[in-house]
Amino acid sequence: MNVDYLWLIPILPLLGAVINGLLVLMTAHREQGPPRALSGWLGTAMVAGSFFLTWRGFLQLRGLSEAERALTQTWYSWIPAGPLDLSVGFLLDPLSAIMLLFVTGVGTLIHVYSIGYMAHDRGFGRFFAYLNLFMCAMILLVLGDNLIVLFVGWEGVGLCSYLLIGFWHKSAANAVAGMKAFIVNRIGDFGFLLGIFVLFWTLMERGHGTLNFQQMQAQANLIPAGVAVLAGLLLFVGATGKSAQIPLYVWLPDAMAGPTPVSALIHAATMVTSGVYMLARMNWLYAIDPTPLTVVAVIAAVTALMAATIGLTQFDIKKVLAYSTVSQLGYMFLACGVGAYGAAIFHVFTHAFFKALLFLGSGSVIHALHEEQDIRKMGGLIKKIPITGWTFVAGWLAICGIVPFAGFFSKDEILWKTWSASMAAPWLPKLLWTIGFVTAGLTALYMTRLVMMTFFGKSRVEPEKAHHIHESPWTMTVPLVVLAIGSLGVGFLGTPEFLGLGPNRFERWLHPVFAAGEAAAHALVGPHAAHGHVVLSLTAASHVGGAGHASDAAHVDGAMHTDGAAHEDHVDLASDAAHGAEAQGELSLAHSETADPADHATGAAAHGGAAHAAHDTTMEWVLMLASLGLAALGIAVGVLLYLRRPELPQRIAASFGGLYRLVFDKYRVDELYDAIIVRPLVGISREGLWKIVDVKIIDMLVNLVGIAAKGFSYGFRFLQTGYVQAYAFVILLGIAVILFRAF
Amino acid sequence: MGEITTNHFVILATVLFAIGTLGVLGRRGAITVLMSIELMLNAVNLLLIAGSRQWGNLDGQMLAFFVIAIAAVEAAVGLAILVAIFRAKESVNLDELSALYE
Amino acid sequence: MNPILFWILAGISVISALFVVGKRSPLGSALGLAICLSSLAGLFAALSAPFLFIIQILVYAGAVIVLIVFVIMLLNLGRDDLREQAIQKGKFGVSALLCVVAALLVLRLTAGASIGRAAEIPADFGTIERIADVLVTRYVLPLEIIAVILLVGILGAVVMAKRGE
Repeated sequence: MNVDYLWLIPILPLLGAVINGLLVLMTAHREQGPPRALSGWLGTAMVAGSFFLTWRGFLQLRGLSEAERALTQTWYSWIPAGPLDLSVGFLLDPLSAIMLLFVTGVGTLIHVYSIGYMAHDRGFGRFFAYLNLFMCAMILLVLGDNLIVLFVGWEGVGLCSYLLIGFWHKSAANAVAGMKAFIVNRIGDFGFLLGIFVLFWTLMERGHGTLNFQQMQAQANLIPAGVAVLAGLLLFVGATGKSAQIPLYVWLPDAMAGPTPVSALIHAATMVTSGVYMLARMNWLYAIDPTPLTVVAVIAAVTALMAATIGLTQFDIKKVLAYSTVSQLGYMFLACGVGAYGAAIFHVFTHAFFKALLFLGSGSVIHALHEEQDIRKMGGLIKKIPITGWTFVAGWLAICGIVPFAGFFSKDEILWKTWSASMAAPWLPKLLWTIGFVTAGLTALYMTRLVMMTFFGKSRVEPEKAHHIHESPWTMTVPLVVLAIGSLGVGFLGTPEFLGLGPNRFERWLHPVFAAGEAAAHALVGPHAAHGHVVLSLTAASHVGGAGHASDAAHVDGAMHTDGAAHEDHVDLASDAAHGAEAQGELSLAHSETADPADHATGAAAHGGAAHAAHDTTMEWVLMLASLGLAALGIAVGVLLYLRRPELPQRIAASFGGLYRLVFDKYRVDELYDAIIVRPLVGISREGLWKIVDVKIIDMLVNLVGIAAKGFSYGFRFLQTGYVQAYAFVILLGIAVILFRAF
Repeated sequence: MGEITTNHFVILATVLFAIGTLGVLGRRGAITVLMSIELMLNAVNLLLIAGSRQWGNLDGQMLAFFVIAIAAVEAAVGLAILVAIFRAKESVNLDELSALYE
Repeated sequence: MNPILFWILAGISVISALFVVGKRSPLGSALGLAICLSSLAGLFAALSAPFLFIIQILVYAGAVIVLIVFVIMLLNLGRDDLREQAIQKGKFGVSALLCVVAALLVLRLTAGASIGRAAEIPADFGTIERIADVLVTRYVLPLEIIAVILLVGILGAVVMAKRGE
């Protein structure tokens, strides 16, 4: 349904940015810039305003039936250019509502935190202006109802990322880090744009050319498989840039040069997840031909593993968290790759809480230790900065996946979905699961390492700094506490069915958005459709109102599972839905809950796996306990190595020698890029393009104009000699011409 | 010698005009140029009068009359200017009188 | 008219015109001009323009030439060298060429056109009475304007030639 307040959500932060910017300009003569309280709280208030508006929208959505759960607003028509009729519009549906809630919510908290963290910085006003600008761009990205508005937001967050990473621009290294982020992102954006072009072109030729999400999805059946694969891969290239996956992840660790709130907000909770969001938004596209998803899943898994190994060796507290982010993003993409979009977004959601918490906590530590970031020079801080310490512990437990913290539920969901996915090669899901599993163990290990070396054990802090260790102001600690509570609690929004705690509310909420994607992409539905998606296609055809109207024949939904595991249906329309096209608009299951497995076995068999009997809950329990166990093991080993026997790690590292150094050097990927890409490009640019093309050719052309003018004027010079007889001559010449012409 | 027709006068006028032009363009002294201009004017006068005779219309003669009057004025003013310039520059050499150029 | 008279007068005028253009000394040019103008006056007379014949002699060959000679004397102008500079020569050459071409062009163009027989004119064609008739009726405006121009010219010349104070 149409509403008219959505536009305020991105505009409020924009207003904050503009006002802050003006304040900075107006007070440029003052050393301190604009008054801190005004700048900071104004910016915070704007984002908080967005949060409340989002909340209002969310409540409004809940009141709507599932089929119509979308609030739209077309703000104005931007580029009406023939077949391309672009307007700036907003779409608040279950997916964007969830994203926006935590973006603005965590964003508000981070704004409050920044008031404390940046209190002594001269660029305070500028910081908040950029931060607000970022929020505006991020909101546009999430709220946009077409690919172009999304892209505008996409570029906007890239810009703000650059501005904020290089915030302390006096240091060249920071500026370079900002540039690296922007340029690497740009490469991804190129792929993104190509993907958009492909999509638009195809739709324009075969149907109605549009980039509006709802309209595109309605025409999904017009897109041939080849095009869908191409577009899907190109869009994913964009996602690898923005969300730091192989091969475009190299900017994220360098981005830690920016202030910590920036790292928390942009490089943990919001911007880096926009790639996942984009993929989730376009799930119907990947449903047409799921080949790209395999690519996504593999890349994601490898990224996750690789980043985790690097994180194990780093000594800068923020770098460890950066690689951890890359790794966790890998999990999110892995989930997308197996079609478990709901799980992916759930992990985005929980990750926002605990990663922001971890980053803000590290900021608090850095602040307490007066800009010390090396964990070898920390230790024993838990007694000295308890609030920071114990909230950090909450984040640590969450990321390790210890029940009942949030990370446990979301990570576990992803692992389960990966294991039970059905892909072209049947061994692939299991392999991917193994990689994810091992990575989870590594995650536990390196995070424990971080926590132990920072907060526990003997203090290795430099004596001068040790005296000044103090807890951070309330503006910093309150957000930490709130996030810690979140890390503990939000997990329960998405508890899996089989635990008997009720349906997976989170995934059910998102179901209408992902129906097509989840149905098609090999996600096998076990009898506990609870774990998600019963294959129902149907964007439009969802007739299940709220929960539990299992009797509704037309639509078998997760709702059925109110009874828990008793209902075993594998309604597996995976086969049809695989070409989401037919599935759309068609009817799902004509039969209701008591569908005979065998009937649909044929359909399901196409994706190999239909004939599941009733007891797969065991597998889930097994996997869950296994990951829990591995996490515990990881923690135990971490405690052993870094608390009890701190001399061991060095010995182990030494014994690995070259391998250790390789990992420590981040596999020398940066050096590799430098050698293969950067140096040749710079070389070509300098020697070829600059010296030859620019200097010789273009300058020559420009000079030619000058030379021509000179030559031309030389000929005309005699006209202006001031020499009367020359004038007379010319007059006569003119007369002669006239005479000649006249006769 | 055949009959003298108006054509002869036309040719004569043209020749005189051409000679006058030659003088205007080719001479350095301002005075000489002025005289050449007078020559050209007279050539035109000749043409006008011949035409008047040809068509029995006094208009040609009238015009020639006015040309003479104007030419007189022009000669007077032109010479006055020349005198003034000479006083300033001590020369009537047109090659040196290119003040318009600066 | 008498062909011999024509050719003599025409010849004199052309030759003296060449003197005007070719003589190095300005006085020589002035002399040439005087002779040319006089012979032209003769041609006017032959063309049934007695009034203009008189006027030409009076005004042109009389006043204007005298004025020019006067100024030459006043300024004590010396010889005017035609041949000194290369520019001069080139210019002369070009303009000579131009003039020849123009003349030939005009002659070529008019040669073909048949001008027809001269009109029959009354015996008092260009006399004072006839001229006066036309002058104060049809040409009264130009007459007045000429008077004004003469006045302006006089004033201008006086102002111009006055010694600055």
